Amino acid sequence: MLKVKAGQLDQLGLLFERYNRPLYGFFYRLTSDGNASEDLVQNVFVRIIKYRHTYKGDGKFSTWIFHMARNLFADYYKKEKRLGYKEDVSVTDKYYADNDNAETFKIASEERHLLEKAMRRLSAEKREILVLSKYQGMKYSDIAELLDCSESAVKVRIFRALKELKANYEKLECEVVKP
Amino acid sequence: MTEMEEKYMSLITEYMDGTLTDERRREFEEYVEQGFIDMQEVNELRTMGQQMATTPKPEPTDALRSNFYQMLAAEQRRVEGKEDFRHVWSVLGRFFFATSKGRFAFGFCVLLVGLVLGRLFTGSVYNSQLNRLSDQMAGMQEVMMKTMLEDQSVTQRLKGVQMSNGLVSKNREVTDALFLTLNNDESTNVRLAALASLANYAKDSAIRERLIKSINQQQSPLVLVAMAELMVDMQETQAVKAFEPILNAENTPDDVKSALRENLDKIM
Repeated sequence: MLKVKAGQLDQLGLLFERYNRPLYGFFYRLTSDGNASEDLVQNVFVRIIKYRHTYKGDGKFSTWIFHMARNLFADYYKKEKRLGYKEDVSVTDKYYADNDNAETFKIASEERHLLEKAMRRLSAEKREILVLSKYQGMKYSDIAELLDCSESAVKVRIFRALKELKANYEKLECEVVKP
Repeated sequence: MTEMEEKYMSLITEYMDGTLTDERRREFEEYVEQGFIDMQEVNELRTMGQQMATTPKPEPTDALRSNFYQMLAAEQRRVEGKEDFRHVWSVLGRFFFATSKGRFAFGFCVLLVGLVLGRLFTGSVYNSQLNRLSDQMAGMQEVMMKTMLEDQSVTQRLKGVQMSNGLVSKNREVTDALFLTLNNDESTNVRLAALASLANYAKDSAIRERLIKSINQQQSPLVLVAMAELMVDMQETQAVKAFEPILNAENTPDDVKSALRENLDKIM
């Protein structure tokens, strides 16, 4: 990133290759919208170019880039005023394309569907912390830096969010069994 | 929520993620034995967490990569454009300000540009002002000339005729005024002066034609002879016919007739 800051814009290609998928995953888990997620990823890199002079290099780059991603998502969230579920068929088809067994696919699809539904019933803050820790596999220390809180607070928030997610999931399972 | 409960939550999260240190693990196990932590709930939560972690990662379409590299290329072109501009400035800066010769050259260039611009702008403004002034002067001269031609004083009328010099070719009204004077002014001298003034423009066919028509209206022997001399100079054959009524008229003095004939004979 320091090279990008120094004017070597071609180095941004390396950063893109490293971070485009994690960023896309982050946005997709929060928005459930493939097109919007791609736009948001693109905007992250537009912002990196625009604000590259502000990068000091004193923290982890991943934290800096996700900080931008969070801000962009906050803008998007305010704009959309909703987080309604919009399944992007092209994306879901792509990452379940390897399932050759129809039954396996069906079960996995149902579980995934319930899990996504349960996630959407969480508040934006709880959903975000689960996306960062469970889907993105980010360390507590990095999440703490990103959210500007202590590591213990991060662990507590993860526990609470996970517990609420489980409750939502069980409730949804019951709704499926007894419609 | 008590501080203690938050401690359990932290421990459970670490347990689920497999990040417990040995010391924290012993602490965790103690709380489980004491019944503060429900292992069944913990395991269910862990299963859910694992389910999330193993969910296939969503993949962006190829459009994302393509759009990114297009954007990057556009940005690079923009930055390089700026750099080229900066480079040109830096080269010019080094050339002009690094040496005394460069500074002299810069000064000379500024002077040259100033002169060219000054000449360009001042010249056009000056010319337009001059043209405007010249038109205004001509207008004033014309008004003054007409006024003078209508004056009772012969001297003023003569001055008026003199003033018409240079205006005849530009202005039909001036020409008309001079012909009016030539045909009707009571003073022979003024008529002669008008004829002399119009003679300067006799090459103009319209003026020449009007001069021929004017012959019949003249009675003064001096003006007639002057007109005959002018016609000889112009070798205007049509004038011969115009003079015939005068030559045949009984009241035309013989001296005048002979003078006119003498002149008209010179017209080939």
